[in-house]
Amino acid sequence: MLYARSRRLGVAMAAMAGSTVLLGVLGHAQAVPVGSTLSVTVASTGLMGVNAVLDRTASIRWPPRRAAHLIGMAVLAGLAGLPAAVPPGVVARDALGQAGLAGAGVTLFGGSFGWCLPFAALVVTYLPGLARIPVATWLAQPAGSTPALVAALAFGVIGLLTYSAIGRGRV
Amino acid sequence: MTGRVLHIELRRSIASWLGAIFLVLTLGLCYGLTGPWGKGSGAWLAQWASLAQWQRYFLDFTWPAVFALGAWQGSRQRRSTMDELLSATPRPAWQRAAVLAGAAAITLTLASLVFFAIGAVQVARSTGYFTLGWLPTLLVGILAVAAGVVAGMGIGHLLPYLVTPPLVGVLGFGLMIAAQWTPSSPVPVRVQLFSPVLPGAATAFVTVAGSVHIGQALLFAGLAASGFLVSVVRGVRARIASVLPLALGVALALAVLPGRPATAYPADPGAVALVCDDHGPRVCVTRAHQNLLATLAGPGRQALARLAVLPGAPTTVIEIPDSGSQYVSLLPRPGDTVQVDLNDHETRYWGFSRLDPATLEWSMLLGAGTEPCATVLPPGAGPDADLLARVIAASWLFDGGARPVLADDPALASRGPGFAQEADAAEVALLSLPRPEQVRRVAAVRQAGLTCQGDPLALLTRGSAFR
Repeated sequence: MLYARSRRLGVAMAAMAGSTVLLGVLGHAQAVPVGSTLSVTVASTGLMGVNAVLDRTASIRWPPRRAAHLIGMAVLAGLAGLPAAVPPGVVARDALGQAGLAGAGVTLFGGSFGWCLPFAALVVTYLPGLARIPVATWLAQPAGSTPALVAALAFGVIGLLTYSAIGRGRV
Repeated sequence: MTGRVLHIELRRSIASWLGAIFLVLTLGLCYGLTGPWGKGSGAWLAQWASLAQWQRYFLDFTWPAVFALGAWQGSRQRRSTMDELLSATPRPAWQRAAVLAGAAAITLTLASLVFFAIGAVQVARSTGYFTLGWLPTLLVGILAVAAGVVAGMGIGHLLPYLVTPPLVGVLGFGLMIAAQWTPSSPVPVRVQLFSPVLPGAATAFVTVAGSVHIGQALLFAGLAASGFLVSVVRGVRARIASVLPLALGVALALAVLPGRPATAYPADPGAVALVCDDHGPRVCVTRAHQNLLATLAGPGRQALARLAVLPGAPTTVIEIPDSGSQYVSLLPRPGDTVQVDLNDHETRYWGFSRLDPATLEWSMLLGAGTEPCATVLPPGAGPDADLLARVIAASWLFDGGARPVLADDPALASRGPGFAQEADAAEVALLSLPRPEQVRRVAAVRQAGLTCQGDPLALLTRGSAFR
């Protein structure tokens, strides 16, 4: 319970609910990148504890717990799209990749800037020069696009490994 | 004293990072990627006005980041309770907020100016047309970015949570994407113009209306004022009241901003004006392309000399501004003129590599010196009967059929192997006719190009307007 509170679970859940509403109202596949980024970036602020020094004194094995947190975040962000009329495969893929990027972002830049990488991925999606490169614009690819799935899986695995092994950055 | 505080804020706050990130992102975008900003006569390094308009286009991708980082700065102030410490000093709160906002605004202004200066060096080399029309575009852009960071600080101060920066960043970006200018967008043009983003210069001959500058300046001034007030006033009522400048800005902007894209981005009369060379047959280019007069004069006169074999031959070459292929049917077509659109998407697709004299002369002879009558299909779209007739007429005029039709235009060869063979066969058939009949048929192609009536290919291969 304390862990949930210290990791801002409430805010994260609210953001996912907000993203569900957003997707439901817009009901358009083009809203998926924005919706998944919204839930993941907001939840990413919970990837760091309130006090890192205090956390380190606890006799818990942190890596499995951090991995579980990140996986849970990806699953919830993926589930957030279910009630809306958008392809669930796309939502799940985007949630996975963005959660991985958030984990990598928190490792690199610390909890308050962890959103930078998923946010950058969202912006890159709309860059005109990259429209023909599916790996770069993986967030907006249609369901069943292999390059987009590979990109999302790669980001997911990289994020999971770095975040669970290293944890939040010291920035 | 304020100078010292400013110096400290520049080092302590996110301000210097903000300017650096903004500049690196913008430079990376325009030099690192290829996009609409590199194409056409309105490319970002082609004209002064284009440079300023494309700089505004890049705000689509940088403005939300500036807004979010401003929100981070504002929320950190509150979360670290640094305000409380500083409120124990005799300096009033608005002065501290002003110095911080000023520091961020200074670095962002510098970054914008550096970007413009880098582009300006290249623009000065490529165009001879200079007015100060780009200045308001640039200034309103700087105001929009500064207003973005100040508004971000205000929101961050109001909602001092960790989630505020990503939340406002993602939502802001989503809104800007939704409001993006497209002809079919359901968002009214007035509301689209609330975005700091401009769609970029489509051609060298468009400008941004003064009413757009005024409306946006009012809007962003209101946004900046509200953002600043929110971070200095205390109490719920005062905070609600601090939204007033923004509301006022929105109301005034709605009254001032134009409601139609054609009014928002009108033609630039200065750029369209003609600059002529009268040493010999008259050759004119638009003032936006006055650097190209010497390049165009030689091939233009050559083309006129070759067209002289036709009855009622043209005597003048005039560059027409490219207004987009959907407007070619509205173009007035005087019979005594060869019209040249340097960006007509047919063969003269704007690019410095296509300005060599032989290519220019050949392309001016297309359709016996006429502009296409319908939207030209893009390369690879397959054969195009009108284009076939136009290139055969050009080849007949250019070298009398001595070489294959497409020898001088490899770009057209991409229309498939059948296209070149068909063209060569039709030219051989044309050359087998008596000379006066050849002249009559090519003249008929020119007449068809001037009136946009009749089928030029049928005129060329059968001598009548029907197939």
